[in-house]
Amino acid sequence: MSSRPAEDQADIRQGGSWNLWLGLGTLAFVALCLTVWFPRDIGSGFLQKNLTGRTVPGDAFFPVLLVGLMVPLAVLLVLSQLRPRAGSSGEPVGHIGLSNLGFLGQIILLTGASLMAMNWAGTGLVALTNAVGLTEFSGYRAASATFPFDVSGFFAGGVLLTCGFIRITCHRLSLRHVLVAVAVVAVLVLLFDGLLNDIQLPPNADL
Amino acid sequence: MDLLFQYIGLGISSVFQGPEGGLWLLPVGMVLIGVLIGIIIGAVPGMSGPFAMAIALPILVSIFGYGNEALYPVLGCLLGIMKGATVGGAVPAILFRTPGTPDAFLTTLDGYPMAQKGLGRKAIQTAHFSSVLGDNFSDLVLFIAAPAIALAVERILGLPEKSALIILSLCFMAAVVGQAPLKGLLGGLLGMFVSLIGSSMSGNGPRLTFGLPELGNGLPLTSAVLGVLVISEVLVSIEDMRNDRSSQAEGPAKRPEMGPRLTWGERARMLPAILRGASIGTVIGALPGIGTTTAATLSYDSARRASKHPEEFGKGTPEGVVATESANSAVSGANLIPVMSLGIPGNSAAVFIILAVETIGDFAFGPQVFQFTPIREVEGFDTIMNAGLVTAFGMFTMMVIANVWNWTLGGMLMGLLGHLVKIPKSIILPVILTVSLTAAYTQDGGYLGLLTAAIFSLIGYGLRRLDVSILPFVIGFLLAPTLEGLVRGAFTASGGDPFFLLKSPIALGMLAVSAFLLIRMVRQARRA
Repeated sequence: MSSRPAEDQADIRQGGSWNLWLGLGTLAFVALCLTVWFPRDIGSGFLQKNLTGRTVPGDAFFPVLLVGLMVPLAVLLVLSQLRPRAGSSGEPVGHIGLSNLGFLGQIILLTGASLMAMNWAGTGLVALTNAVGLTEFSGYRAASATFPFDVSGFFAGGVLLTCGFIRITCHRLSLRHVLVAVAVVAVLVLLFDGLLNDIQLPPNADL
Repeated sequence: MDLLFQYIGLGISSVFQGPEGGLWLLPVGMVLIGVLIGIIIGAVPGMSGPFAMAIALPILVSIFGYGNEALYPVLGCLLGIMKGATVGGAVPAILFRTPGTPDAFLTTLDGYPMAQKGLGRKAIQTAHFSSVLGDNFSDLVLFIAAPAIALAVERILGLPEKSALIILSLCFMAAVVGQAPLKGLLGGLLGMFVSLIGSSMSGNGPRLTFGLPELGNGLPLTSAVLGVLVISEVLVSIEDMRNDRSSQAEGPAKRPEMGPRLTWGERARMLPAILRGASIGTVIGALPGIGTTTAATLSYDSARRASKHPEEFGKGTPEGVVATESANSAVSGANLIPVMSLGIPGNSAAVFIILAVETIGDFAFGPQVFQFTPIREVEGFDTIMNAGLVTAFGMFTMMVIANVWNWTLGGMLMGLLGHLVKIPKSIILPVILTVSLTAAYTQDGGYLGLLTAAIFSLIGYGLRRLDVSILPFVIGFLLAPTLEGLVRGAFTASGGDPFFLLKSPIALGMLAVSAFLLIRMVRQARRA
């Protein structure tokens, strides 16, 4: 859906060792599944006897087949990297570097902060209106079906999220950008809270 | 034959007849809304049909619910978006050399030079005519091929063969999508594995949940697909824009002179070329995993080779626009052939159609849909018939309605869409992200849906950055329950024979082809 930047094409060759890590990581994952995860987290075994005494597959049957099929593929991936033909560097692979991890850290922080705003803005607004004597709610839960308290958290968090990502893509944040974010979130509030029944905007479904 | 016409009649009337039996125009209206959204979204750079379908699905489910009566309005809108987007993408490609959708990229090669020569209107009308006609052609093939393939599959293939067919489809998809087929196949297996979380096949409680009761009903399907397919793509694009400061200042060029209209004589002369492009698009579209770009490229090359003036390609010949638009639009109908006949999605748009069907009501795609059960009325009970077949013909009817809207509204709207290119991608992407996360929360159980979308978007981000194609992961994720049911059934029916998949010659043949594809992948990996 989007085109790849030229620098990433160059990374394909640089990231060859990722094939090795992916292959070895897959093998480690399979070992972990077969020795720790499956025995503890699947109620029945690979095969089991049913009421008529017939042997039928247990719940572990298909997961074991799946991870079993991963083994040869992972081995082939490792081998294609370790023993490529002359002049080749194994299967093409991209690259995840510190810059990518930095970006992921940035968006996780931004999304986390926005979710915090969604969770606490409503509570804050209720506390504020109670303090100035406008309302007498016992807490946010009591106000969570009353406009504007019910949408205040989503509004604050949604605008923060949208503005934050616009700041990343545009490298700046202007008043026009903030207005766009406010308008988008207002339309979402109108759609989900105004026009649709039985739909709860964040954080109201998790109170 | 009478039975066929009876079912076709029931299918058509089911679209116009509401649950209470009265006239029902909601599905037709939703198709219209879908086509409008699709055409507009298609013309916005950075957006595409699957993006809009992904965002629309949770909203539509929120509006119409999960009952059987919600199926037509939701599917109508999604089909409309899928078809409308094939038309809209050409406008910014022609007027501003900015393809609205990735498959319209090749349209820029000749469409933009035509517009620069003062033939903008003619180029847009050529794109519209070729696109809608190509789409109609592939729909016709779908209407004939899907029932025929389904009937053949249901008659010939048993449980082991159907299992082998899904394995073959996954191998084929991994082999043709992307540059790293081994990792694509690993991604497909990983997608299957992840979909097992929280499921249970033998009544021993949910498996692989880490003891979390929230996962007892399995992972929220829509949020997971939304995360891996759409949000991850948005994240990659956002990161690219974050790292690329140069493109910010560039605005769209001035709208060129529109010039004369396309004449009926010119339209008639285009028909053979449209038929060739549509045939290529239909064949490519029917194969799982091969997308619109491949269809458009093959069609463009073939048209250039067949042309008396190949040197004019790339300099503004209508033949180039015809070749790319007829082929990439023909993919949209044909990619529903494996969906409707086998239940196997072949591209992103088909994924959301399958997702809608799995989320809403009790209709399911697959060869069983096209069983022509004799229609019998049982006194004091009800009418016995294959309701799935009626729904399938209802879907075909809605596709025809979408085509009618595309012919009429599409033609009128296309000339007006040029200014949409001014909507900056840098604003659109954050908006898509906010809408997607909100949709995940509202449809899929609050923060569980949101968290699922977030985790799957990180998985998708990692796969994309490592050049592992996403489609096998998503298809594996969607097909795992079906494959598990088939494999377990085949194993049980064989009496616990460990070689249960190798006993049938057809299954053996399919697995041999899968093995051949695997060997080809390994050789390709070693040669790369």
